[in-house]
Amino acid sequence: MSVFRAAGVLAGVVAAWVAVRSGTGVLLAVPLLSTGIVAGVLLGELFAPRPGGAVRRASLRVRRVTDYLPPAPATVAGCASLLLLGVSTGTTSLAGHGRLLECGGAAVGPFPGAYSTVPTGAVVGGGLLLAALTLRRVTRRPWLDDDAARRRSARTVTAASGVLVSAPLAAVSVSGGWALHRLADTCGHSWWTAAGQGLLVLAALAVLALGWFGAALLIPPTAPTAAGTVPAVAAR
Amino acid sequence: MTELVVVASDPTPPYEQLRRQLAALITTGALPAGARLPPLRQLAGDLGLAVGTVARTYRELESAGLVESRRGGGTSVATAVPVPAAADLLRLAAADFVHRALSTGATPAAIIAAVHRELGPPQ
Repeated sequence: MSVFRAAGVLAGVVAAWVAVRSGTGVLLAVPLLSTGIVAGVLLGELFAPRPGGAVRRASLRVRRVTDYLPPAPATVAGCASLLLLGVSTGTTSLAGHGRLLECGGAAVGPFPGAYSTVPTGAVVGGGLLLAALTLRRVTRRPWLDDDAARRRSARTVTAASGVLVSAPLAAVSVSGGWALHRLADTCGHSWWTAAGQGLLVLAALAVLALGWFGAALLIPPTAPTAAGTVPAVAAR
Repeated sequence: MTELVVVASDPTPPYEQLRRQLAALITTGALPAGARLPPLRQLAGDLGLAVGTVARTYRELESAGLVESRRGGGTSVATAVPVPAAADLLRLAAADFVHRALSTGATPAAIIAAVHRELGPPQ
C-alpha cells in the first residue's frame, strides 16, 4: 500500500473512531472511513510523476472518466446512492427530527429521522463529491502510458464509494423497514407493511453490495496489467 | 494510437512542433474528419506545456481550416480539410517523420540510412 493511501486509511480510521466516540454514531463511521480511502487515492494522484525530460510524448486519445470506471460496480454504486437519497428522504418525512416512529400512541425506534439522515447525508454527499473530484484527477493527470494504474485507482474509488453509500443504505433500510413493519397493523397503514418488507429486502441487498465493494477494496485485482505498465498508483 | 512528440532541445517552438505534427496527421488522413482532438488541458498536462501553448497550436490549425472548435464541444478535425498538393503532402510527411526520428536521438546520417533501407534498392 502506498504512503498516500495508507495516510488516507489512517485518517479515515481516526475520523470514524472520533465519530463513534463522540456519539454521532456508527452510521457515520463507515462513510468517514471510505472518504479517507478516497482522499488517499486523491493524494496519490496529486503527487503522481509529471512529464519531464528532453522528449515528451502524448497520446491523441481523448480520455474520459468512463474509460477507467469499472462498469458494474459504478452502476451499483450509482443506484445505491439514489436509493439512499430516496429512502432517507422518505423516512425523514415520516419521523421529522424524532428518533422514533410514532403512531396511535405506539412508538418504535430507532427510526432514521433528520437527526441521523442529515449528518449522514452531509458526510455521504461530501464523500461522493471527493470521489468525483478524484476520478476527474485520475483521468486528467498527465499521461505516462499508465492506463492500468488509472484503472486501479478508479476501481478503488468506485469500491470506496460503494461502501460509502451501501453501509448507510443498509442501516437506514433495516431500521426504517423494521419500524414500519412493526407499526403497520397498529396504525392501520397497510402500505407500511409492504414498504417495511421492501426496505428489509433492500437492506439485505445493501449488505451484499457492502460485502462486494469491501472485497474489491481488500482483494487486489487479478486481471493482468497491460504490458509495459509503470508502477501502480498504489506503489506511490 | 497516434502520439505527439515535443523535443525540448529543438529550436522550433513547442507550439510549432505540435502544429506541424497535427497538420501532417490531418492532411495525410491519419486523423479523419470529425476526429476529436484532446482537450487543451489534457494535452498541455501530458506534454508538460502551458495551456496557452497548446491553445495557440489549435488556433493556428483552425485558421488554416484544419480543425473546428465548438463552444463546449471541444476541437475536432474539420469536415472539409483543404487538400494539399502532392508535393506539399510529401513535404509534410517528411517533416513529421524527421521530427519523430530526431526525437529518438538518431543522427541525420542514421535517419537517411534508415530511409534508404526502407526504400530498398533503387528501381
